[in-house]
Amino acid sequence: MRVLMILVVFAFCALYDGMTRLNKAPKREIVVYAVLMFVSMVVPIYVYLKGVGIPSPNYAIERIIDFLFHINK
Amino acid sequence: MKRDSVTINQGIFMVLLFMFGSSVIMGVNTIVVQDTWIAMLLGALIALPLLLMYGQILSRFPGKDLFEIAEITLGKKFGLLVTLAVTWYALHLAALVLRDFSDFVHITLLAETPQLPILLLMILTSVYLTRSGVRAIGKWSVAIILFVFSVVIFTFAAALRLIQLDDILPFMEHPPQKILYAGAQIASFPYAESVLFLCLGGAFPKGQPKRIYVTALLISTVIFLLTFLRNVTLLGPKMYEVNFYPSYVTARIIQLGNFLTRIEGSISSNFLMTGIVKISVCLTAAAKGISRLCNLPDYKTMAMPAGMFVFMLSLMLYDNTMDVFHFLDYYLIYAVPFQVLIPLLIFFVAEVEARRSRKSLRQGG
Repeated sequence: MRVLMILVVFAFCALYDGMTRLNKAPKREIVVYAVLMFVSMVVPIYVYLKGVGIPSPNYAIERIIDFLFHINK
Repeated sequence: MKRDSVTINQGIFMVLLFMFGSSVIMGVNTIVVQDTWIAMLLGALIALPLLLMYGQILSRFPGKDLFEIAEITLGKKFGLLVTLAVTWYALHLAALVLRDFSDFVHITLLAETPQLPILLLMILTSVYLTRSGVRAIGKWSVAIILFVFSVVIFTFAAALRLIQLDDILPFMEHPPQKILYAGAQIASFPYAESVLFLCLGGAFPKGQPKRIYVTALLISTVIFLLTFLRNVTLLGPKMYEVNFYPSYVTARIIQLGNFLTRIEGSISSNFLMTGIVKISVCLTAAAKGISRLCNLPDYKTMAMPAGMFVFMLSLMLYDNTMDVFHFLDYYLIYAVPFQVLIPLLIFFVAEVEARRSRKSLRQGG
């Protein structure tokens, strides 16, 4: 259900933008748009389907700061 | 082409609501409990020179955003690095605020609803506001500021008969170093996060950025002090310290007679409305950064992919809500490069260049 929700929302957004903005946009803009949307869609679907966690940037930041400044909470 | 600019009042209210953001419901830093008011005043004092610096950068380069300014002052390569760093900061901050939203709504209002639709609805609303332009964000800020102020003043007035001023004591129970550290944390979150307004370029009227920043800082400090006073005198220091959402819990206690109860809904609406402004400003900065990095003509097309990226990021930030508050301990250090180092470097280079050109003009004249 969650995967379906993500697919529907992303498809709708891409379709709407494709018909209103991207039809007049340069090729580079379309490529950047498609890549960002694809990555943003695939990662949550992968997480929900596989049930695995993706390394969080927050925990990585906490580890780096702990290593450099020894906050140790 | 019509410039996407705002009036002075719209600018002040935008920055003000941005500073309110998540702080209006989560409260500011609570590590010094009843001495938080001292930390708030210190935080405002620490943030003041930072905000003046941001205003001076915008005044020095009217009509230009931070990415263009970075390229002018630091060169193309370093300018691109700065653009990348600030874009990441904008995306990350938007994801943090969005996740705060969904956690709050999930915990307090819609416990049975999964977080996914809450996140999607919030981010799509913010994307719509971002694509409408900075002027639309300014008009939205003016439209809701009266409601936000009314809720704060009403809840404070309604809480007057329940307030116990003894809960503010003892004065300076915590060591000065801890209060200073709390002040620095408050300066970093939420005041210095307004560094992202540098990315909005020529949105502020000419010659007014410093006035906008300082006015917003003063008003937000007063509102935060009122909010803190209401929360700690109603809940008491111990409850205030342990609660994740002290403003919401306080609103649940308040009632007027037998007919006006359950006013915590107004606090929730405050949070949602201010949060939309904060996420929209972050998305605008991120979209401008992405379009600058990829050399694209219009940033508004990148609002949707930036929003969806923020949505994806917000899903994987934390495993649980308590980690949100744990990250606040690290946020001060994490935010220093984006809030202090990068603007300070740009400010320093810009001022040196300005003095050099004034000197050479005088010598030439």
